[in-house]
Amino acid sequence: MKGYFVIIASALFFWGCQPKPNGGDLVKNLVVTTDHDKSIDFTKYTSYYIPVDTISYFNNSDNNPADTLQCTGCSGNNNGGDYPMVITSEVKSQMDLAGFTQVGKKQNPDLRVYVFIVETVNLYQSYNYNPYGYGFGYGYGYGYGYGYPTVSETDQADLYLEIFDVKNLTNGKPTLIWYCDIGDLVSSPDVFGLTTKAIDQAYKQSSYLKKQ
Amino acid sequence: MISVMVSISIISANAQYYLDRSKNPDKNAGKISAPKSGRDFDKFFFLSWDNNSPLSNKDFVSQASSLGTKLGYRKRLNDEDKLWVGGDFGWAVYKQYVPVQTYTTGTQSTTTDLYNYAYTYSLSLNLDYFFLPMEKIITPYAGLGIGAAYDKFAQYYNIYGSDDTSWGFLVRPEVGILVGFKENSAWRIKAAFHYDYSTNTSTNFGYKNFTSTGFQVGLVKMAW
Repeated sequence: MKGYFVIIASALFFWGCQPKPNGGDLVKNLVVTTDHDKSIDFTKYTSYYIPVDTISYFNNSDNNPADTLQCTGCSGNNNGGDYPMVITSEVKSQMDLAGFTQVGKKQNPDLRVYVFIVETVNLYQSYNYNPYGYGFGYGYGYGYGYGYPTVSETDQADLYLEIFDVKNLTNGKPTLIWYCDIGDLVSSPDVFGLTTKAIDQAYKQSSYLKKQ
Repeated sequence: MISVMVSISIISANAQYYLDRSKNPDKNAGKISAPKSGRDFDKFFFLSWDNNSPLSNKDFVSQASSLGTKLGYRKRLNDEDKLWVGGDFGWAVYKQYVPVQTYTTGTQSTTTDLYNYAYTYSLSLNLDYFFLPMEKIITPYAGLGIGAAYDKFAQYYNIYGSDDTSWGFLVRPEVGILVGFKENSAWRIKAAFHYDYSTNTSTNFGYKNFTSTGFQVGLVKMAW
């Protein structure tokens, strides 16, 4: 009888056993995804504009619109440290390498590069109830059971780079012609270094994105 | 009185006849009814370490896996000490790391490294034929298992991932040996090769079936 029990218990143990990759190994590289409008000929563009040292930042747990701008030189909640500068400098360097010329916002650029981060924080709460327990809930309510809440949190952030055609407006609005999604920033062990590497990769895998 | 004497003589004659092996050769040689030196084991349990190599869809996972196990039970089918029936539970995890590459579909390109995993579970009904009596030190066998297989194919990259699960029908031919520490040993070593074919499919991960070969080494506990 003991033998049957050992077999059944072991089978149940292995059934629930699904090892996963080491978390540290998984986040050694950021995932870089790019897409573009295939009808666009990027060689017809010459100039671009990018707000230097400044990026937009959206966090679902922070509803204050004043916090959505992060820059290296800003103060208070808008100070994003060196990270905005690291990103915009690398994007500028790659746009220059691609043959485009950086101009000011009022100098009628052909393209506008928009950089933003979206951070999503989720809290999960569950309440476990044991109807047969005699613990903390004894004497309260109608039962003899007890329960306890558990809370878990997930936090992830992606960096988005978007290039808009501001020379040829569609219904008076700029047209998105290229985008890049880089993630996850939160779990990255070296967010500065890996972001720089990921931006370089984004341009490398977008060989069509060049003036020449 | 005379009839009693005759009866005793007949019984005595019969007894004499059956004791004479030359006139009545042992038809039970090799069968369980033959005398044994120890316990008459009629069942056994085993736990094996299972090493497997995938054969199907090597684009997803091609690396051999040493992360596997098999648990099993066998019961002697009848007085013949050769046919044993029972069941196996099998578990194995296959892993494959794919270094950073760029994947392009249409106008979209993604660059990442991948961790491909296949988790396989099986439950089978088995019939084994042992070529030698079980009390021997080495008992080779051949067996066949049929049953159900459940596979989960998963792909992990950074904090993201996707998976797919599938049930299928399993066939597993197997050959192996049990090696006792002495004659009619209660504890034995099991070593066996097996080939697994299951009908599990996954369109997302490119599986039309899941086949593998494996080598298992384990410990057997005989019981009665």
